[in-house]
Amino acid sequence: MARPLFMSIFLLMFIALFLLLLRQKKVVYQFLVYLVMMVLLGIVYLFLGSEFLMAFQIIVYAGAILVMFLFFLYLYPEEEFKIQDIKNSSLIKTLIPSLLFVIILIFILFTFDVREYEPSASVYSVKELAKLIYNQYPLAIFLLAFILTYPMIAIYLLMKGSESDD
Amino acid sequence: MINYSFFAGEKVFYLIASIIILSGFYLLFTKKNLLLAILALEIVFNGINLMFATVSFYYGDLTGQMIVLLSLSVAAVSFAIGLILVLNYYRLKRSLNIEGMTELRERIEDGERDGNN
Repeated sequence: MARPLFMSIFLLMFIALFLLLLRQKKVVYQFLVYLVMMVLLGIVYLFLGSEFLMAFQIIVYAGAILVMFLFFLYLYPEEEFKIQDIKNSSLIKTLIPSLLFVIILIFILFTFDVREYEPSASVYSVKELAKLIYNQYPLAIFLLAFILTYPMIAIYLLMKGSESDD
Repeated sequence: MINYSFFAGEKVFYLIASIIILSGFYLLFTKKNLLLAILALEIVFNGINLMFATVSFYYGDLTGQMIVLLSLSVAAVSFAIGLILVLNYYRLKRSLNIEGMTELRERIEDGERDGNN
């Protein structure tokens, strides 16, 4: 009985946010509506029994990526950014994490063995999902972490470029 | 009388996903800003991810959740790289208007077409 009630409330909230989005004229306010939508989407994932996705959506997506976009929105009209070539010293520094990950990747490829895992009680729980991921999909998770390092490297390069501007 | 079976089933999730996708399309088609176009595409991705998770839950297959996990990661990375590309474009052109992006368009008035040589 509680699930239909909560889902109806969530549906009403999404519809209200959509109408609020149509009413807003300023881009920053529209973005804030999107931010609330994404947090609510994380809670909807909880109703679908995927707690891991809920944590990922709220921590990584709404917490990190969209807040970074908010800073971009605030910085956009400013003319503080100037074209700057990337120096070789910065490139060498950014190669260090990449090399580290390649070494760990080779280590995982030669040492880890993929184990078949049968979910025991409830498939849709964090514990079972984590067991499944780290038993059957260690390489996929590692590649995912490797992909996620690239924006950090890019942001590092950007920061180094703006520092050398000063 | 409210029909509670609609809210207990999977259709309400599809409805929420379609609202998210529609809001993304609204931003995509009403603003002519490159930065907001990237944000709109990310919102559309999130709606599609919700559909994946819904199907995964109601049909008992974990593959959908794995796809959502990978899709969220790749979307986050593409978002960050897209922001940096937009930033570089802004450095070059001092504008983010999508309609002003005509650098690759063929210039007929300058006589640069091959047939006019």
